[in-house]
Amino acid sequence: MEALKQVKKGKKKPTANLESELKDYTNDAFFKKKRERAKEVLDKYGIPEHFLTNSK
Amino acid sequence: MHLEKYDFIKGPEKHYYHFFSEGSKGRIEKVIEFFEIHTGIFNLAFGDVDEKTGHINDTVASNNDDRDKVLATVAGAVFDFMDDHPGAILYAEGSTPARTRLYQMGISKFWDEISEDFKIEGFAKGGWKPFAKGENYESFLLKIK
Repeated sequence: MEALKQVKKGKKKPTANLESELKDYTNDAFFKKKRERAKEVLDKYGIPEHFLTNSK
Repeated sequence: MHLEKYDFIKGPEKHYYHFFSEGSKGRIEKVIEFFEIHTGIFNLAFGDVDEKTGHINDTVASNNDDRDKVLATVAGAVFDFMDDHPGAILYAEGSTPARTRLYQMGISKFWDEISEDFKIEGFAKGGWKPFAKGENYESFLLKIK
């Protein structure tokens, strides 16, 4: 868990300058394709009940 | 265990994380997206910004010799996102089998720590099953235990 805590320390709050440089990728073709693929898999195979309910 | 990683920046859009990989191939911007595809279920995707087109792709091996650092940074973004969305389920699949194996390597590498707090399923041979090191999967689900 300590290793995970160390990883979590990396976040920064965005600054005004950086925000202005960051593009909006909501309509990016790559991300859209990935979302469609995810939906396709989950619509076809679903999520296992034991995963949703934490049962073993 | 000390994990070297890049600092990431949470973009002004709700679920984007940006960071820069630096190495022999120069400075490469990488973007991580968490996108809600069904209520409470988010797709995790990330790739490099193509500096010529401004678009994202993950089929190009940018090869900045920092694979582990990039994986640790993505892991950090996952932990940050799950902090904000503790009830969320993440789905992740690489654009290619090699890319999916990269995700799998990252999960296996940090499995002892990850498995304390997260439940992970892997999809293989037509069905979901609890993640086990040494098995090969096509995609993954993750949630907080």
